[in-house]
Amino acid sequence: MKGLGVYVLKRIGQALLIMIGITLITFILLYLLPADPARQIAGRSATAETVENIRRQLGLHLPFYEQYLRYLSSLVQGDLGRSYIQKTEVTELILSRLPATLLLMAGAISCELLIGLPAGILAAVKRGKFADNAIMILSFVGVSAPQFVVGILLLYVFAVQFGWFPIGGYGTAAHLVLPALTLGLLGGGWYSRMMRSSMLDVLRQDYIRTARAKGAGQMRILTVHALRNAILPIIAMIGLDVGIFMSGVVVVESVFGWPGIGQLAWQAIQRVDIPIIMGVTLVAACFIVVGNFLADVIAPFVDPRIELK
Amino acid sequence: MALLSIADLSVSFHTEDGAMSIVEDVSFEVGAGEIVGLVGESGCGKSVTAMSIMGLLPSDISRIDKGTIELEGKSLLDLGEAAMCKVRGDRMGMIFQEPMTSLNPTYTIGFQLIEALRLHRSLSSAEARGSVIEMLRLVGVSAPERRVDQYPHELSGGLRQRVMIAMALICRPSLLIADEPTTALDVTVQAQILELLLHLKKELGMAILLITHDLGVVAEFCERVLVMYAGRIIEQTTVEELYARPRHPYTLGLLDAMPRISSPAGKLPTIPGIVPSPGNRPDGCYFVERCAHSSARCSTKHPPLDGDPPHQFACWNPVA
Ligand SMILES: Nc1ncnc2c1ncn2[C@@H]1O[C@H](COP(=O)(O)OP(=O)(O)OP(=O)(O)O)[C@@H](O)[C@H]1O
Ligand SMILES: [Mg+2]
Repeated sequence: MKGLGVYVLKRIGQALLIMIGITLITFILLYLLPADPARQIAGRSATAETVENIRRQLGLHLPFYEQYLRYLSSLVQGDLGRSYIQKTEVTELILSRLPATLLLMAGAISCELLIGLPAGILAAVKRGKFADNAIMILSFVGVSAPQFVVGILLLYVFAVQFGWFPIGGYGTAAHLVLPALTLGLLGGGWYSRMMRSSMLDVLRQDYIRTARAKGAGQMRILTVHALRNAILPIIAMIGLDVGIFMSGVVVVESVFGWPGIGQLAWQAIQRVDIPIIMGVTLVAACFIVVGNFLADVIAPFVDPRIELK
Repeated sequence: MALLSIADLSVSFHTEDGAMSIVEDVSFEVGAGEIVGLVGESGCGKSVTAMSIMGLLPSDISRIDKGTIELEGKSLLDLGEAAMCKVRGDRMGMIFQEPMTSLNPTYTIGFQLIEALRLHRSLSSAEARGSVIEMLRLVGVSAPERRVDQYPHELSGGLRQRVMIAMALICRPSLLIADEPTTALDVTVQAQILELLLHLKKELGMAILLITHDLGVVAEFCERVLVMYAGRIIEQTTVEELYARPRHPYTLGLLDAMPRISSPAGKLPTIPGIVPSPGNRPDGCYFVERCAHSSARCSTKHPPLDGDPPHQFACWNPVA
């Protein structure tokens, strides 16, 4: 377990470098943005003098590198700054909304796996038959449909027409179903395709033939012998997925009025509320780092040949 | 009654290239406790024959066109998949050419051996673990108590093949099919594994169908030999008889091509020509194009496997 400690330290070091890189890139992008936060805050009718005052207050008149170093030095003290518009601490805003987003993510990942893995396995087993073709077509639709369209469609059918689920909002398990499903359909499409090809590859292996030779039935071969080997690329994928998720979360939270950090980010982008945008970006980066870390730590437990590096 | 008897077995493959008959009219028997060698060049259908017996042919592209396979008086081709699962691993076991890839890399060897046992016997995990350790000891794995908790990648090729043998024999089957069990191993390990099989046969009394393309291995370890050529059995007899009086020109060619200590240094004689591929087999004897003894009849009519048991051969102009 000493190895694990060193490994974790190494990964944290890497993560810090990645975070600094991400803050720098985001900062540059926001700096280059033609929109002027001071003008946004001051309002349309404000005089040039007022705008200039606000700019000085926020330190936006300083040269780029100075602004960035200021941000970085308060960041290392754990200070993400204050929202320009809401005047609240960004940390507070994010923390209050994080649970909703984490819940949505958990729901979405569950949907992805519950849809994607069985579909992929079934497609592999029924290779070339009707079920395989149907699943591949559906997964293609799932992968290529824009999420706001899927979200609105699900809302219309299951909330408006059938009335099975609330139209939006947050609070009960029923609220979670449609937004999680919207995110999960896309991921489910990806996972079913990955699972199918991974499974087909595994089913060709010699050890599957060995398992059959000892008298294991089809079900046992799939669940015990094939699944564990076939799931490895999926685990790596989930790690990456957590990052890709954040872009979907912004859309889906807005469609469903889900009070998470995606919605927070969406509002902040509209008003050029730079501290919030920076904060949410950092959280997303944390998700990616943690997701990849977890995927890397879990992999050796699934396949003992893999070592932590 | 023979332990295993196969009659008129024909197997075809149906791929994008069309239908190809791979194994044709194969008939042979294996008696209880007997070691029978199945020899032939690469691609002649040895593995397909073995997989037919095990019921492990790829069901989507292959078909058994005719024939019967009986093990211990039970007709295997009439069994459903569930019943076949009960026979596989219990009454017959199989080991393969590739020990490096034949074990599941994600489970300990103990798990895989215990599974093989518990699929067919109702034992507690503790009892099964005990039997597994005992079996590993029997196949010459040192410190089996430690080995059971190791993963395949921690074992050498020779050890993995021993584990495969232990797995195939854990339920004490009456038949072991060994498909080129030593081809992928070092020469010294090859001999050890074959010696082990012989030792286990004496200990446990199972019959062995040993597939190989090495006639030297057959000479040393087998009692009887089946010679296969282009999907057919062309000669079968006892090992002594085969080496003393081969009757089929192909068998003769194989024996001449064997390296011998007494043979003068230099090139070994080889059989001229190539094996006709499954789609391009001639009308008559499949060996006719490469045969020095052929006559007109050879290219029109296929010779049946004939002669007084135990020595049978499929040739119109046998070697005297
Ligand atoms: N999965 C498959 N798909 C298509 N053709 C196959 C398949 N398996 C076997 N064959 C065909 O069957 C023929 C016999 O193959 P088989 O594996 O039985 O040969 P073999 O005698 O065991 O050869 P080797 O000594 O190389 O193992 C091959 O020529 C090949 O064309
Ligand atoms: Mg073979």
